[in-house]
Amino acid sequence: MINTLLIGILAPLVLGPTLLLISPKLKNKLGWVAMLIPLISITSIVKVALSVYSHHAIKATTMGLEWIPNLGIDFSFLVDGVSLFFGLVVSVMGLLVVLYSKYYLHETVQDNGRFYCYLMLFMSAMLGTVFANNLIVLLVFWEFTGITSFLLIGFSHEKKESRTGALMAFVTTGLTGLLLLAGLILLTILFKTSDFSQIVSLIGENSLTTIFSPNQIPYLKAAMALILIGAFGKSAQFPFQYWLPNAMAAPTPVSAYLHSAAMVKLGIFLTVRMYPIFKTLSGWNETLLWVGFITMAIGGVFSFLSNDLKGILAYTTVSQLGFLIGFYGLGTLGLEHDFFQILNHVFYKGSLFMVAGIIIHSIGTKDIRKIGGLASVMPLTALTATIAGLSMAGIPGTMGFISKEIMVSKVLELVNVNGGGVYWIFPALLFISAMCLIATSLRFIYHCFYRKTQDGSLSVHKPKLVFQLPPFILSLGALFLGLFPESGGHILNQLNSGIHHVSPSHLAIFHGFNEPLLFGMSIIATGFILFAVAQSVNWRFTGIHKVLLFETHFLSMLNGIKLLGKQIGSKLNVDKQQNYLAIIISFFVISFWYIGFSTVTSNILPIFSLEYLETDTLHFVHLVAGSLLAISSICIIAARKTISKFIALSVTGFTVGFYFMLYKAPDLALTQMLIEAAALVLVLILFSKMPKTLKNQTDPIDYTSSGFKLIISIGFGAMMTSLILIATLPSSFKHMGKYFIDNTLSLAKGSNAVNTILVDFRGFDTMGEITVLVVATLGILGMLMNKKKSTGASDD
Amino acid sequence: MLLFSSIIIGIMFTVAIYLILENRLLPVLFGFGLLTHAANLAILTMSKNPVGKVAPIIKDGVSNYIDPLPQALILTAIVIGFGVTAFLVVLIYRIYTASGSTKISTIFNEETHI
Repeated sequence: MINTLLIGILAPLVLGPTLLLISPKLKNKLGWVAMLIPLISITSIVKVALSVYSHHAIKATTMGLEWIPNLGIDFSFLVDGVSLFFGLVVSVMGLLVVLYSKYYLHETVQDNGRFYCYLMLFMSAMLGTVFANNLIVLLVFWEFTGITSFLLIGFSHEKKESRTGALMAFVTTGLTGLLLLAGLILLTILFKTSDFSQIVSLIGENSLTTIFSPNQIPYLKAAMALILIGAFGKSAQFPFQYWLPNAMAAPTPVSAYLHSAAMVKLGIFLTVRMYPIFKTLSGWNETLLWVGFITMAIGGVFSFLSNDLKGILAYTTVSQLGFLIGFYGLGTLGLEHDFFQILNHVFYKGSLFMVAGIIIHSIGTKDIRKIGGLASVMPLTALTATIAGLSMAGIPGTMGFISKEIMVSKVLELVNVNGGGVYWIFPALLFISAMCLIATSLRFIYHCFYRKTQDGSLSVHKPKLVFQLPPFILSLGALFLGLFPESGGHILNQLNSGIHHVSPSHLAIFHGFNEPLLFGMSIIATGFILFAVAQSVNWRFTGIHKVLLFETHFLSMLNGIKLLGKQIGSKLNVDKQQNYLAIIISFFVISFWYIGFSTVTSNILPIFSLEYLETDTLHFVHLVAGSLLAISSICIIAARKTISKFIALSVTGFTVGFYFMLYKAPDLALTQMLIEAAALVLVLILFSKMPKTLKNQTDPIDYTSSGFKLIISIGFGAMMTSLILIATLPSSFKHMGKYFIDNTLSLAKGSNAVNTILVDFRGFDTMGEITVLVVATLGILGMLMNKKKSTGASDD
Repeated sequence: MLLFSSIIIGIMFTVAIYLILENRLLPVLFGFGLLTHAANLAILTMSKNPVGKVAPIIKDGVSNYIDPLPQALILTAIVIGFGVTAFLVVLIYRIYTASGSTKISTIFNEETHI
């Protein structure tokens, strides 16, 4: 089974890039080929689903391959109700979006190969995330969705708003993704496994407080907070809601996919996934409730105030995502029919985004104030938008109505269970958001399709029928499940993943006259009144104040980071290379002495004892050579003229050759002499090219800066001396050389062990060395040839 | 000899770092050269005291060879050090012909002002 699942997940990843290759040949027909890929995924997932389906329930199954056994990380996947539901939503939506894109891209986008390629990569990342069992695997795919969504949102990269939107989405979801990583690692440490199903079976029906000791609970809470931030960032929850409307700069098929079915649903997915782990931890439900309901209200109000067709939809998405997060915050109450809620959003929002795309494609504007009377041009789309819009509003007969009614009854139950008080705020927030959504939906439907245009000057490009088909299919789904909720509810209930009610309540359009119905009806009534009032003042109040738009804060924060970096940089003298270098070296030296002082003193002081020094024989010739080295190096500093400095350096170099001789290294001595001579010639050539003044140039001595440099340098020198002494302590290491001495004759047929090491035992190192020399030569050649060119140009 | 060598190498490192922190390119070049020498010698000390040892060229009846591995490493390092020196020499020459100065502060300030 694992192979089938892997085909389903990885087929888009592997086949997506091949679309790039065949796109020049197929041009517009590429869409048909691209549709095959989601079909492969759907088929595989259905096949996997059927294999784990028995007795009217999905049996949760893990499957996987070994990946990093040392860390206990397997490339494992979990097939259960949750992953199958999300996997099917992602792949089926993917299919519809590709079909839709084929017509949407028809004229607007040239390189459609790239588009489909990104789309397929994104789909693969999504499928990987929802099926992942290992938390690390989940995170890898999670971040991959972030990267691919960045590519998709920024697809029209020549537009500034696309780049800003893509950056905003990427930075927000990327940063929160990092926090998610921290949270998942914390979870892995606490449970001593990164395998999700193992963690869940470890917990079983126990409360977390019985498994962990009280002093571990704060860590659990930290993990929970980090994971929730990851989920909230991805699902655009307050205060991260700003990225979603800006990501609308993407081509509409991308918006329809990312913001209805895919990317933003990941946060919801993560919440469902983590539910069995954290359900018993205090703070889980409360956080979800508050964040969800606040987001829902903000999204509702902002959508009511927007004028941009896609902006309206974006904020309604934010609102609906808050609705879903808040729904899970209801605790056990929110686990009934949760998939029904998610599917509701997929249906109507995917459909509405596609409708918006058709409108934009046909008339080229997305300002709702300039659109009107489109029903006569595109009746099918008008019908689609009406169904989907009414579903968004939650009018009886649509899926949205059922969804809202479930929510209302659950929230009222929550208030009753907790005895009212502050809990009344949740129905209130729900009321506000639902009311605004109704007014917005009515505006969307009425303004786009049914009202008369003011000037009638809209030039409309009539869309093809197939283009209008995908949103229509989705809206039919919303209508069907609205009229026959029990049939859909029945299927969804079989995706039970162990966290849901065993016998969920019956879904129906009409439950009799009760509190939720009255509440729902009053929402609808006020929604209509709100629409009528707004209509009477011609929506003059729309537009959102800048301060309320978090993206301005976000952008100024980004700028602030840049400024801060600049400030720190100028404080650290990054622009003055020499000071900067001094800072780096002194930091290095100070940290060495700060950390290593005790090690150095305890290890080196015994060396100065007499018995050690007696074994450390020192001949007169050593003394002479060493002193010459020291004196000539000091002369490099002491000499005033540059040329004298260089001569002192040369003396040092030749003395080093002599010193090699003392260490019984004839090969080194020979090489050193040769190289030193070559270097001498080279630098003298350099001098001959420079004017005399430069060679003899002396700088006025600045005693403060010299003193400072001297302190750093002496610290560094003392550090090196100590390191050498520590490294050569009698106890420190065994000689490696014995192997080479013993084997040089037998294995390498050479008596000089140094030579055999170079050309035989470590031949590849020598290859590397030669490569370095070649690279250096190429660099030198490049610089010299470049010089010729530039002087030639200046001669002209 | 070990203690003595380590102190001498320490002095060489001191001078090298001092030169690298200078404001002119030529002393920096010399500093790099000296740093190479000092580093090579530091590796060489890993073969411990050479007194009474013989060069690692196999002969019958001899067993007190010095460790050949540091020597092999240094042989590579010398050559690469030369490559770096040659590269730096040409780089300095190019910087000098391009900007007419070998003062680091002048060169970089000019570039940032452009």
